This record gives sequence, C-alpha cells and structure tokens, in this order.
Amino acid sequence: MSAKCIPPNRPRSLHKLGCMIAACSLAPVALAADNPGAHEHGHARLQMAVEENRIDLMLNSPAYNLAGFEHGARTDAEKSRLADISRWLETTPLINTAAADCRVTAAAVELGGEEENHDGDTHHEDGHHDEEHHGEATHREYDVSQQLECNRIDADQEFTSALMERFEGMAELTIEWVSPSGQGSARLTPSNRAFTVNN
Amino acid sequence: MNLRLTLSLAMASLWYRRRVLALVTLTLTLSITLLLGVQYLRTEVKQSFTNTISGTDLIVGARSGQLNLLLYTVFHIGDATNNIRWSTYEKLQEDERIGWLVPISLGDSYRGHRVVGTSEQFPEHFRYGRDQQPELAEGEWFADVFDVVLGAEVALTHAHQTGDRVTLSHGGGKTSFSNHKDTPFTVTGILAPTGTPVDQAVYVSLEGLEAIHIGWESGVAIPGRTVTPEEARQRDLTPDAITAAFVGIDRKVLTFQVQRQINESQLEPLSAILPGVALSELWRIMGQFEKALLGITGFVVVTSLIGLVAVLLTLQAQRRQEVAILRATGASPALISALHVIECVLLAIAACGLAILAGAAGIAALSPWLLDTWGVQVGLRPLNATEWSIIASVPLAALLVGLIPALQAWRGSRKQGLGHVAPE
Repeated sequence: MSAKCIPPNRPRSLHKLGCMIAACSLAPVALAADNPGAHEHGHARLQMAVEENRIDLMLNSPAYNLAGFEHGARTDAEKSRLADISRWLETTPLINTAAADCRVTAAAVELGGEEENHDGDTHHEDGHHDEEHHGEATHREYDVSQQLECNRIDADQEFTSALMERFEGMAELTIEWVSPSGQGSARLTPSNRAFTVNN
Repeated sequence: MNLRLTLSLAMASLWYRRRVLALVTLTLTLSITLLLGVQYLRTEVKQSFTNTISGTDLIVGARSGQLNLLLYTVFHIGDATNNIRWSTYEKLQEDERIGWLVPISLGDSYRGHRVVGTSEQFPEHFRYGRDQQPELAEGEWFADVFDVVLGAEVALTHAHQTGDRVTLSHGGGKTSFSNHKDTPFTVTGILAPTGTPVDQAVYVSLEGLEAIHIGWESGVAIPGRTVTPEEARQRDLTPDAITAAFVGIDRKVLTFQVQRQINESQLEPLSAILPGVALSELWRIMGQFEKALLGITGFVVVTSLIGLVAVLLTLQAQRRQEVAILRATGASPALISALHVIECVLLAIAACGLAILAGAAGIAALSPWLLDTWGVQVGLRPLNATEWSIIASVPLAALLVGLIPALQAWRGSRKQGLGHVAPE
C-alpha cells in the first residue's frame, strides 16, 4: 500500500509528519491509570458502536464545552444550567438519523474531576492550558454513555450530532465508530455536522 | 407542419455529418472517461487505503500515539519505541472477549525489506481490502523455525523462488553489516500481490526470530556464543517480548470497552488503537491530495463542455442550407432550435454510455497490471451515487450549452427569408 499513496522517497518525511501530528494534535488514545487524560477545551470525543439496531455511545468532553465553566456550580443559575445539561444528555440522542429514528433506552451522565480549591483562585475560560499557572484548579469532564435503539440503520447510514447545535463551546467533535463491517472516524465541526457509518 | 419529414431530414443531416459528430463524441467520451476515471480512482484508492488492514479490531503495542503504532505495525514505516512482554500477550489471550491474537515482532530486515516475525495465526486472521486473505502464489506458509515467506514485491525485486536460501540482516536499513549468516532461512512460500505493505515484507515465525538472536548481545554476534540451526531447534524459542499484536474481538460492539481496559492496563503501559479509525485519521491528513484530484476533475468537465460548444457552433456555419430546407418543409424556428438541443443531449448521452463501457473495459484490462506493477488495487464495482450524478450532469450540462447554438439557430432561421410559416 505504501507504494500507492506514499511515494517511495517520502516514507521518512511522512513518518515524521505522522509522529508530529500524533504527538501534537491527536488526543492520545491512552487513558492510562498512570497518566492524566488529555483535556482540550472545544474538543470532544464520541465513541460509537453499532450492532444491528442498537447503538452504544460514549462521550468524553471537557465540562467547559457543555457548561461554559469547569468549577463547581456556585450560583443558582450555574446549578440549574448543570441540571439542564444533565437532563438534556440523558434524554436526547447524541447522534441521530435525518428521520430521527433513534431513541435513548439507557443513559448515564457523570461529571468527573474534583471540585476546585476556591481559596483565592480564579477560574479560566480561555481554552488555554498551562497546568503550572493554575495548579489548584482542576479540570472536570463529562462522561456520558447512552444506549440507542433505532428503527432502522441502513448500510451507509448518515448520522448527525445535535451536540454542536446545543452547545456552542463544542468546536470539534471526533467520532470514532465501530460496526460489524468496519471502523472509521469523522471530525465534526459546527459547519459540518454529518457523518456516514458503513454498517 | 410535417414533423415526420422534419425528423427524417434531421436524421439524414446527422448521418451526413457522421464523421465530425463521431469525432465530437469521441472527444467528449474521452473527457467523461477521464472525469469518471479520476472520481472512480479517488474512491478506490481511499477505499483501498482505509482497507490496508481489515478485520483486525485492535492493534496493541507499547504506549504511543495511534498513528505511530499504525505506521510501524501496518505500513512498516518508523520504529517501535518499546516492546510488549510475552506475558502480557499471554494475559490478553485469556480474555474471553478476544477471539484471536496475532503477534508481530519487528526489528530485522532482508535487503531493506522488513522482517515480520509472527505466528501461524497471521495467514488465518490477517485481512486486507474487502475481507481478503493474503494468498500464496507458490509454496506454503512457514512450518519450520528457519522457513521464510516472501511478499510479492520482495520475491520480484530479488528474483526469488521457493527453495532459495536467504540471510536476514540485523536491524533495519538496506545495507546492514551484521548479518545472521550462521542461520540462513529457506523460502517456503511467495505471497500473491495484495497492493498493501504485505508485498514489501518478509514473514518468519517468532521462533525463527528468536533462534537467530541466540548469542547476540547489543546487536552484535558474540563469537563462540552463536548456535547452529540444529542447536537452535533444541532450545526453548519462546520470545520474551514482541512488538505488537493484532487483536480480533468476537462482538465488535465490545471493541471500545476492550480498548479502554487495555489502555488502562496495570500490566505495563500499553496502547490499543482501532486501525480503521487511525487509517481514516491518516487519510484526512492526506486529504489535500484528494482535493487536488477533485479540482482537476472539475477542470476536465469545464474544458470538455467548452469544446463541445465550440464544435457545435463551427458546425452550425455549415448548416445554413439544411436549415433553409427544414424551414421549407414547414419546420418552425422553435423546432429547429429544439433539434439542436436534442442533438447535443443525444451526443452527450451516447458519450456517457461509451465512457462507462470504455472505463469498465480499461479498469478490467489494467487492474492486474496496476496491482503487479504499482501495487494499486483497483477492482470493478457498480458505480456509486456520486458517480452516477456526475454522469447525469453531463447530458444536463449539454442541454444548457446546447441552448447557445439553439438560440443562434432560432435567430438565424428567422432571418432565413422564407417567410413566416403559420402554425397548422
């Protein structure tokens, strides 16, 4: 295959490119017990496993993308915002077909991470990360799992995600999908909300 | 108005201009074939690329990024930073959700080609393309410790046949100064071309790789410590470590669950990646290439349509007498201009039909050569919706560009001076 898309004189540069991109832009696949997981505001990852008419979803997103803040809810407005978000995540399918064939049969929403230390610390909302400068603030993440039941899923089924529409902080959503006939990924942005799964 | 007479005259006119029209159709056919070919190849190359490995649900290696792991295990580009322990591999084998495991051990080479140490599970479970199994063009898979199976390209480049003796080199690179010359391998099989990096690789058993490294330290053979092939066969050749493992999961829906557990494994730092996901990620990086092809495709269409209009307008100058006769038979200016449009669309449809036939014949004829010479796998398949819409857009565009000569014909025929014919 390398002869096909990678000219013979370029493997090294491609390798460098691959490594560079893997190191810089991709969220590392490892969520190991000993390394802290990657946390990038504006970006979230949705894993999707399709089996017949059932779809298992697992969304991992910094809380900032959904709520606009990552500190513990202080005001009533913030508390009700978090409650709204949880309700929405529990009841709305994170992905759906154009005909809205899928409905949520089970869902679990978890807002992980520790409460931050309130003493004299200011929260940041600039999407920039530098742990050294605000070591006392912790990042919080949503882990949402949903089980969907769909009326029908075609061989080349197009799906859209309502996440971008509902949450303005979601600038990029990486979809990783697995179906009996293969695997693939897609990168959704606010202007491109559709992707196709080969079922 | 005598419609039948008009049509028969139009047919006669077509027949009279058959040579020029055949040339126009040929030009258009070539353009459409090119357009269709570019679109078809674009889809096929993408498909072929994302199917470089198929059927494998996870690739497990030492902790690294997903592209790095994919590049060194599947494309044989770059090197592994770390290995995984054999005990970890055995632990993974115990997992009930995992259907099969294929070990992969890298690090040696044969005249610049990667040597892949694996097990008999490899031919059984490794798939590429649309669930295709790597097949042997001749011979059989390795059975002995010192048997080797060559990829198609390797055998072709070095003119190897089954029964040949080969010496593997320590480490990668084309020129290695440390060769495993005490332990030569016998070629037992040569793989058929696959159009994947398999063609460029050399396959031996894990035991074989272990055997040739007995008595080697820090990449050098220690004199007096190396063994003969016979002595090596007597030893326990279970490896201590392997580079990576291909994993098949019985229920695909559990893939992410197994991936998460492996990534969080306490045995040692591991990375499990989904090859299909990593491949589509890699394809996105190379997306510029795809966009360039699309741009070329667009230019091809525009150019060929401009060519069509130019030819039709040139022809029109020669058709004054014909238009006069048509007008004399009672054809209205509207009918004459309609004939132009119909002619244009019919030519486009004929060209489309011919282009599909030419394209199919071309792909059928060239695909074995493409695979053998370039390692590009392009097969015949039914056209997809995008390709059909491209084909459909050609007569549609012809209809639109046909309006230009039609309008001219309408104007011209009104000025022809045969008077206005009242409708019947």
